[in-house]
Amino acid sequence: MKCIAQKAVCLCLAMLTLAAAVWLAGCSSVRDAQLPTHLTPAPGTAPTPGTAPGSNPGTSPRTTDAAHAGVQPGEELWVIVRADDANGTGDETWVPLGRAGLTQLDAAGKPVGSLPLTSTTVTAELRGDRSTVAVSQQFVNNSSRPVDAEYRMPMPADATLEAFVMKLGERRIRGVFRSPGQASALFESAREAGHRASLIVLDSDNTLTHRLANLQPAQPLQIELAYVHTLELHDGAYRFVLPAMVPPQAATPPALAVTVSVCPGEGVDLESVTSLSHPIERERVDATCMRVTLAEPAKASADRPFELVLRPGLGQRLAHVPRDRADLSPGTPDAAVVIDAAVPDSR
Amino acid sequence: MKRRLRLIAVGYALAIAVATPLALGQAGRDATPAGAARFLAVDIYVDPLGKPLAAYQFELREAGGRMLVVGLENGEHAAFGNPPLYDRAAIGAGRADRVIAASYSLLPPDQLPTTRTRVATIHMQIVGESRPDFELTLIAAGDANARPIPATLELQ
Repeated sequence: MKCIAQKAVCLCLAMLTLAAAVWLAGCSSVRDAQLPTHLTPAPGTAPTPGTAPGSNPGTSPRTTDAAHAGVQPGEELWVIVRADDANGTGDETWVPLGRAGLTQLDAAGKPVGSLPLTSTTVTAELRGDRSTVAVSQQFVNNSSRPVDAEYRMPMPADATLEAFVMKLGERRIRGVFRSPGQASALFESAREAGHRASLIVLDSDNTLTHRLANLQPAQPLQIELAYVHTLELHDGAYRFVLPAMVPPQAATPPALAVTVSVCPGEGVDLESVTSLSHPIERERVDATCMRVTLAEPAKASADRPFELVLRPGLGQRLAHVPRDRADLSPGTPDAAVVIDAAVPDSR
Repeated sequence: MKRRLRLIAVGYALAIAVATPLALGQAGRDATPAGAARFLAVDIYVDPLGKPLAAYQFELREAGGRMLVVGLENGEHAAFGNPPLYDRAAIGAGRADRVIAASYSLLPPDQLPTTRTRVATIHMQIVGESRPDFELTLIAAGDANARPIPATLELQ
């Protein structure tokens, strides 16, 4: 009797394992079916059905030609075509950075409402492989009382914060970098005292958490932050990515303005500068630099990521630009706080 | 022998008695200080005594080590419309009992301030109820050609 019971248990476990395997396989096939890219054999090549392509379709969203790809006789070439290449309105499944989200908080720190972010302006300077990004965001509190808000934004893996400024009309207050624990304690103390305050914490997983305290009714508050990171070469191209600044379900997605100065370095030619996420315009500034802006800024929204792909000439790389300051080491938990101590509780 | 042991014991007790407050004091400075704390803003003025002021650098400290800087605000003149830069290392190690701030302007000399002007406001948290004991030092003041100029510095 005992032996029969053991066999029954074993059988049940085996069936459960089998069911789990079938379920996982089903999930995988569904996920694959939802990929936004599809594969098309290149002219002159005839891929064998069932043969896996040599590249990952999710990481090489770019049409190419055999000469550029360096295909040798006998090798197989797959051209990956994105349905959205033509109109420049890509989806975000291929973007390595996630979404930012902004939440209004009540006094207990619980999420209660909509976002007060009204505009986002990004000015980036790509000098060689070093990217310096300045993000300016304006927040407006449309309610009748002061509110707090929290904002989370994924950052590039090696990003380090460089500057943090709170702007109140003509007044501009530079934030101070501190340990996350001390910055949080100062922020909470200021929040309780009714001071306008802002706190940013860059976690070790490179998620930027941005908190605002005592956002006053009808008084726009602008936050400017700057970070640096290094662009890396993948599949023959460098990708500069800005995360989506707000969730897609935002009632009124804020306007987005992006200006990117691209200076690849002396003697480095860029074969192409393209964006799959937004229509862009390129303007030659001088012999070594170009300026990239959004082609339709009025239509641009911060509810989806912005990506710029820089493809240097064959065999070339962007000039390497080391970081200026030894104290801005990547991967270090970083935080900054800014408090307007001049204006006491105005509630 | 007993006397020697007694002396060693007394010495050890004295060492502990002296070291404990020092250690506690150090920990208190490194962590966010507990107790009554308030936020205040201090205006910093530079008077370049008739010369065009294009750059300045100063150091502000609180003698009691009770100051935690939480913001550096721009000045009132357009030449110093950007908030001053500060020495991040001087605020490092989790405490900010001193801050070294500096700013400069690239405006032409005829657009620079020549009289007393507020060049910055330092926002801070002060721990304790007693009046802060500030020490303000002008490190440098310069004109548009980067030449040092005489100037006075004060806080309000």
